[in-house]
Amino acid sequence: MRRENSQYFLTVKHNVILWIIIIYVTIILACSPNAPDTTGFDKAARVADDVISGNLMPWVEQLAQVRATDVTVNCEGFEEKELFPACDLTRDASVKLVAEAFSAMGYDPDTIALGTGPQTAYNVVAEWPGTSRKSEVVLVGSHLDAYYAGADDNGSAVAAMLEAARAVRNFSFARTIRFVAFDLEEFGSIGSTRYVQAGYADNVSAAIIMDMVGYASNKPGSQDEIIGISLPDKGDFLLVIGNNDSAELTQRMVALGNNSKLAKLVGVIAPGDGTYFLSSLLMRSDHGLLWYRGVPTIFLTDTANFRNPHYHKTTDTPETLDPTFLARNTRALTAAVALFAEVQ
Amino acid sequence: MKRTIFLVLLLSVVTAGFAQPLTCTPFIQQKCLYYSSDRVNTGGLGVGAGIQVIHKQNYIVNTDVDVLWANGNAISTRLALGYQRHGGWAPVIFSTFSLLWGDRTETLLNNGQRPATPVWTVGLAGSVLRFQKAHSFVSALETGYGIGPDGGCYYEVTILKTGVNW
Repeated sequence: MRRENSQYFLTVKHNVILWIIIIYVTIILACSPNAPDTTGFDKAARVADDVISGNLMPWVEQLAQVRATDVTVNCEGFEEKELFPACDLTRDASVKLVAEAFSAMGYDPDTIALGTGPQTAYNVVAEWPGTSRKSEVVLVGSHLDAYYAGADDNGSAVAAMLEAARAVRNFSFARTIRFVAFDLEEFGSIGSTRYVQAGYADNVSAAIIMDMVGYASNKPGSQDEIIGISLPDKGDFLLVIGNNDSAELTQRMVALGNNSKLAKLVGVIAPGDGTYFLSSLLMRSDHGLLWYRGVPTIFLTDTANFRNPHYHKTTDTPETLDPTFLARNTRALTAAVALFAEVQ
Repeated sequence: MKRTIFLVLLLSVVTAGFAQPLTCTPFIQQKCLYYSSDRVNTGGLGVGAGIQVIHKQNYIVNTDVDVLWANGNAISTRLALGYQRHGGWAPVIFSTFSLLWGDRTETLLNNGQRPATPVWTVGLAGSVLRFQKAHSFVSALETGYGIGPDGGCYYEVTILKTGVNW
C-alpha cells in the first residue's frame, strides 16, 4: 500500500512539473504586443491642418506681459522653496485674458469660482457642443496660473489650448469639446481638484491635460530620465503619459501624432491607475484627481524640470521656447481632440 | 524563434531526468526584484511560494510565484534549474527563466504599440547561505541577475527562503 502511494505521488510530481513547463511555453508563444486602432486618423489629422502656427507665440507673449504687472496670489500657508516660489504666483490677469480670448473666438466662456477665501480658484471654461453624443465630453485642460512670466509653465499649454479651441470651430464633432483653463495648479492642482470634486467632470469620457509643451532641445544629454524610465537622450519630443484607464487613448494619440508626422511623441503608460508612490512623478499636474477618479486622461508635457532649466525661474521667458516645437505639439493636440471627439 | 528553441531545450533537459525518484519540497520566500528595459520597468519587494524538486541529491528544479509591491502589483513566476552541494551546507547555483506580470511602467513604440505581456527573462542566481536537513532547507540572500527583451536586465535578491518536505 505504501509503495503504491509513493508511486502515485511520484507520478503527480512529474505531472505538475511538466504542466508548469507546458504552461510557460504556451504563454510565451501566445503573448504578443498590441498596436492601437488607427480608424479615423486621416480625418483627425486634417483638423490639425487648421492650426495656425503664427497664433501661438503671441499668446505666450501676451500672457507673460500681463503677468509682469499682475498682483500675486495670497501665499499664506505655503512655504517658499527653491523650485516653489509660492509668493510669486499670479493668475488674475491670465483669467481675464483667457476668458476674453475665448469670447473673441465666439465662445460663451464661464469663469467658475470654486472654494472660498484668498485661494478661491477661478477656472475658465468654454465648450464646443457635440452633435450626436452631446452629453459625452472630451476635456482639454491646462493651468493658467504661473510663476513670473511663465512662458513654458504654462503659457505654452494655454496657447496650445486656445489655438486648438479656435481650430475646432471649423468642424463639427459627435462629442462635446470642453476647454478648461485651470487655476492654482502650482499650489497643488487646487483648481482642477475642486472642479472634479464638484462633479463637473462626471460626464467626461476622455481628457487631455497639458503642462509645459513648448521647450525643446536637440543637444545630446538634454533630457533627464524620469524615475528610471528610459527616454530619448535629446529633449526634442513631447511626452504623452497615460495610465491603465487611458492606455488606449495614449496609444492612439502617440500613433496618430507620429504616423501622421504631426509631432514627435513618446508614450509612457504608468502602472495601474498611475497613483502609486514610485510613479507619482508622472501625475504631478491637473490630471491627478482625474486619474484617481478613473476618468480616462492623458497628460502632455515637455517633462518640465527634467528638461527645462528655466523651470519655475524668472528666466522662463518666451525667448526660451521653440516656436516650431510648440506648433507641432499643438497640431498633435488638435488632431487628438478631433479623434477622441469624433470629427464628422 | 530563439526563445522557442530555448524553451524546447529547457523542456528536454528537465524531462530527461524524470525517470528517477524525486524529492519535493514546498517553500515560502521573501524577495525583491527590479527589472528595467528600454520599454518596461517593474518589480518590487514581496513574498512568494514555490516547489523545489531535488533529483539525485544534487540537481534542483525550482518553480515559484511571487507578488511584488512598489510600483503597483507585479507578479513574478520563475522556473529555475540548478545544482547544489549535497550535505548540511548546500550552496546552490541556478539558471533561471522568469515571467513578469502585472503592473509596470511602459514606454510605447512610435506606432503606439505596447510591450508584450508577460516580460520574459533568463539569468543566473545563487546562494551560498543555504543549509538543508533531511526534510527541510533554509537559504538566505540568494542573489540573481538576468536579461530580458529590449535591452532589459533584472536584479533579484531572495532575502529568505525556507521549505519543509511533504
